[in-house]
Amino acid sequence: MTWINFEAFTAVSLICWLAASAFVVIKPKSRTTQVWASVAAIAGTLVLAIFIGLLWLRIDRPPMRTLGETRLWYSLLLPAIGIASFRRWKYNWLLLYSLFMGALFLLINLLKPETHDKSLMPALQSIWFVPHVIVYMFAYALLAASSLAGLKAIYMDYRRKNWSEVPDLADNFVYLGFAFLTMGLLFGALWAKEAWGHYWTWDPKETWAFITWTAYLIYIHYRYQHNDNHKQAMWILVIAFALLLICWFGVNYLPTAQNSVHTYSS
Amino acid sequence: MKRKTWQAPWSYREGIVIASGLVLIGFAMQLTLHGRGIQIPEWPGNLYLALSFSGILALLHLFYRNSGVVKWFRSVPAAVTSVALYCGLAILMGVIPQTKSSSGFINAIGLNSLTSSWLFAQANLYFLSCLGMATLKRLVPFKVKNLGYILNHLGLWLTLVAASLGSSDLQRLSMACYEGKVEWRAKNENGRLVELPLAIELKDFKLEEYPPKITLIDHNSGKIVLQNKRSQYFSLADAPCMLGNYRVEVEKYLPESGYIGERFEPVNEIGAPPAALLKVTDTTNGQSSSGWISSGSFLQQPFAFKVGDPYSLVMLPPEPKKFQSDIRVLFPDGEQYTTTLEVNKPFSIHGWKLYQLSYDVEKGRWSELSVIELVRDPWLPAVYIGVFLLLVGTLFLLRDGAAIKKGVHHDLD
Ligand code: HEM
Repeated sequence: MTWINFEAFTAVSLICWLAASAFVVIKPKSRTTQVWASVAAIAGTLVLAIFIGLLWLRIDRPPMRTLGETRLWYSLLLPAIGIASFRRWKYNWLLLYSLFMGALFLLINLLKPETHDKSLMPALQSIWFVPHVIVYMFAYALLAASSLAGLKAIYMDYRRKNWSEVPDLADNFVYLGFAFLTMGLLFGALWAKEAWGHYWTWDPKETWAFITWTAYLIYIHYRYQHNDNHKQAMWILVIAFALLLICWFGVNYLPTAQNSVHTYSS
Repeated sequence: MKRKTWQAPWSYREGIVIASGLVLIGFAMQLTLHGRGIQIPEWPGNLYLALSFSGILALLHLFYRNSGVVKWFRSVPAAVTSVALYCGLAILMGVIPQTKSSSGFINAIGLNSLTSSWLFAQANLYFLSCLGMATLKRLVPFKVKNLGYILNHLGLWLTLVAASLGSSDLQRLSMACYEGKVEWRAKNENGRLVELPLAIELKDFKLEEYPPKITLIDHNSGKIVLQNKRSQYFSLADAPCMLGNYRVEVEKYLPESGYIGERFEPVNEIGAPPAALLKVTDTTNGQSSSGWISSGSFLQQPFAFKVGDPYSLVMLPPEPKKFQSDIRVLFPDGEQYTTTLEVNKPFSIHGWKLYQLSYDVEKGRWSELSVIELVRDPWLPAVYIGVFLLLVGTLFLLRDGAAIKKGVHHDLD
């Protein structure tokens, strides 16, 4: 494998990303540091892009075959999406989160250049594996943030404080999170077609993913009409997140679990 | 401002009444038909259904757009309540196992086979009517600023219509192929044998395994000692390693071995399991000893190494890393193709998709059987177009986020 100068490229990318993170952590409110942070983050991402390009030329095929190679793409795409969203929304945590995830994947590659040594059942050895899991991680993080906002609104309402700003923040999280949730669901379906022959079988895990998805769909549409009547909407958010948690952790404990192909423990 | 129920414009109250009505009618239908679900017609019947459904929605939108009922279908309360109905059904499906139930009542009203129940079909039809009218609302007349909306709503509508109406044309067959034999019959989902317009010859089935893992068991109880610890197992490839207080080194590793006398020797036979000669040091007292372990196979007994009462080291059967079938696909007119099937790497040919499904697990690496799944799904392109529209639609959600204008700020019909 051609990981020869990978360490050097990784080091440069990581340093750039670290600098970007430092900027927004040290002076979170300033517009100029946000610009500098973007510049540093973009530089780090570009270095990585160059490396992938070189690797591609070197091995004379798209570097997308092994898990290590897919992770490389993730280290590139996550920060790219993160930086774009950051430029648009100016949320520092978005930048931090995406750079952190990107760095994490780079580090894994650094420590385990060619990884298949952890036994991975054949069905999981797919190029869809990483994208599917990653967008879900993104979605869950964003939707968790939206529910926190929802709980905060409900609490503030209980204490009779003014919470009129909170729902808009929650909305932002939900729209972004829902977009990723939809991608995760669809990637999962496309993958299932390749691995199991059909894109949708109402397997318990799929069913619960669908339930979660519809719950946020209800929120989006309810909010679209009830812009002022926040409180019910905040409760929908909390319930939706409870359903999400069932989908994530709870499915294995339900009476339907024995029929699932997605419970990998034996 | 008080509004009577059913007085236009309808809202959530009516939405809930309609949804509950659908539930009641669905159960009633199921009961009167003695648990028989609904059957979606096969090609071309389902195509006619799809065309008439779209046609009716389009006509309603073009010529009756101001009628109260049409307005209802494209309203937000209808969207919310019809999605909630769908969500509710999915929750039932997610909690009640979708297999024959011990409760006669659950069987009778179709709760154990929801996807083919009347209730599900009605909820689906209602939901897709709402979604369809909502799509048309901003599709005709077309405005560029509605592009994201159109991609999301049209994409979902197309995906679901094609997936549900196309389900009757879906064929999933599994074919048991033996090495060196040609097979043209396969079993369908009801276990019935079907003859196919193509035949498959299995030339070779190959299975690659991960290096076997070793673990420490209590040989009195048969339980793994380090249960729930992170270093419960070790791959032989990672040796030397620590298991509990024992330091384990591999002195010799034989991927295929036979038990001869008191030791293992390399052999090249069917059913020859891996074996390893280990050097084990008890770190509490520094004593070390050597011994063989083997995972065994369908022909040979496993072999454990007692390292001190009550502990033994055992080798777990190697896990499959990859399995594949070299096959030749033959058609009656003499056309033929040679290819290799692997999990996650299906092969498409004349509308069929061939998948590596399974093999004789007992025999593992020496399996002469390869089970190949054959799938035909003529509606797949339509479903994928819908999925593609949805995926592009998500990019609009990412771009617009909460900047999406709320309905209260402009007219909501
Ligand atoms: C992929 C799934 C869906 C997404 C991402 C989505 C997204 C949206 C968004 C963002 C809006 C706000 C309008 C705007 O974009 O300016 C909206 C409005 C709306 N949606 Fe959806 N939606 C989805 C599914 C549905 C479904 C299943 C229905 C109906 C059953 C529906 C019915 C409506 C209606 C009636 C409106 C109001 C349109 C108007 O008043 O002009 N949507 N949707």
